[in-house]
Amino acid sequence: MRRYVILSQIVAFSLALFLLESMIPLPFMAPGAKLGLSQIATVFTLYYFSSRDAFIVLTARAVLSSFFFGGPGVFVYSIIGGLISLCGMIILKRTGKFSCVSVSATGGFLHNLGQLFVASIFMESAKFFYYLPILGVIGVATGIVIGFIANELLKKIKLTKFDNSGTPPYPPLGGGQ
Amino acid sequence: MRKDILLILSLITLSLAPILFLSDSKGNIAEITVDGKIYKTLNLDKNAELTIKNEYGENKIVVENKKIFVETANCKDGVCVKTGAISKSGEIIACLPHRLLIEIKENE
Ligand SMILES: [Zn+2]
Repeated sequence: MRRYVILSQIVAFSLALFLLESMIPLPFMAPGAKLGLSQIATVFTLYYFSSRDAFIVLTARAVLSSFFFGGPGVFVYSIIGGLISLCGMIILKRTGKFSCVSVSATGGFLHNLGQLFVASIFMESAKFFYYLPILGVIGVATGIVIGFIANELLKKIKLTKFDNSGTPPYPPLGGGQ
Repeated sequence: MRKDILLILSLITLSLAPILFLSDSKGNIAEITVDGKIYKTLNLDKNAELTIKNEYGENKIVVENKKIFVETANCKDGVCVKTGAISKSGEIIACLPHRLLIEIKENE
């Protein structure tokens, strides 16, 4: 049960980040362009808890953020990009060959790629890939920063482990470090 | 560590790939699409103003000095206005809430 208390705190935290970044003006303009700071909650949950919990956190964040700050359109954008990103991260993490940092970088990249896909489908034009160089590189860069932060958090929080299942709930930080 | 660097480098390469398909040439035609259908084609050599008003909202489009930009719009995000002026072939301005797309093309 305590796990759900922590998970809901993580959701609240990522919602706050989501709101914060919607107030940061970006020097480049592309539809749906965002830094993707709230991804830190997904990455952290993926490594600290499990794939399933990361999925719960992501979905809750997307539902709540579109409820408070947007509409159904916002929901579709944030959930599809987020899901593509999370699936990619889960697969890479499972291989055990990559560190949290590069897994997160891939997540950032896939998130923005996913948003371009949604925009292309919605607007019936493939022209949106014009934005891939800027959005892709931004996604990778934010992903790297988020990966480092998540890694530091995981190192610190490892000291305050708790266990309610009998199985070790803390997956290693991924191989190749 | 080496695998991580390789992965990140390939992501960046993948991101930059579309640059290969961009031409650097100036276009002289702006194609305006609403709802995926061509609404109007403007010649960038002629200054013009065009207001598109439909069930989604309103966008005021201006052609000036061989460039095209959205001057005002009542959309939620304002992305179309902030994009600024475009003039190179392949560049786009998008207003997602109004399902509007402006694309620069070369006149064959
Ligand atoms: Zn707009």
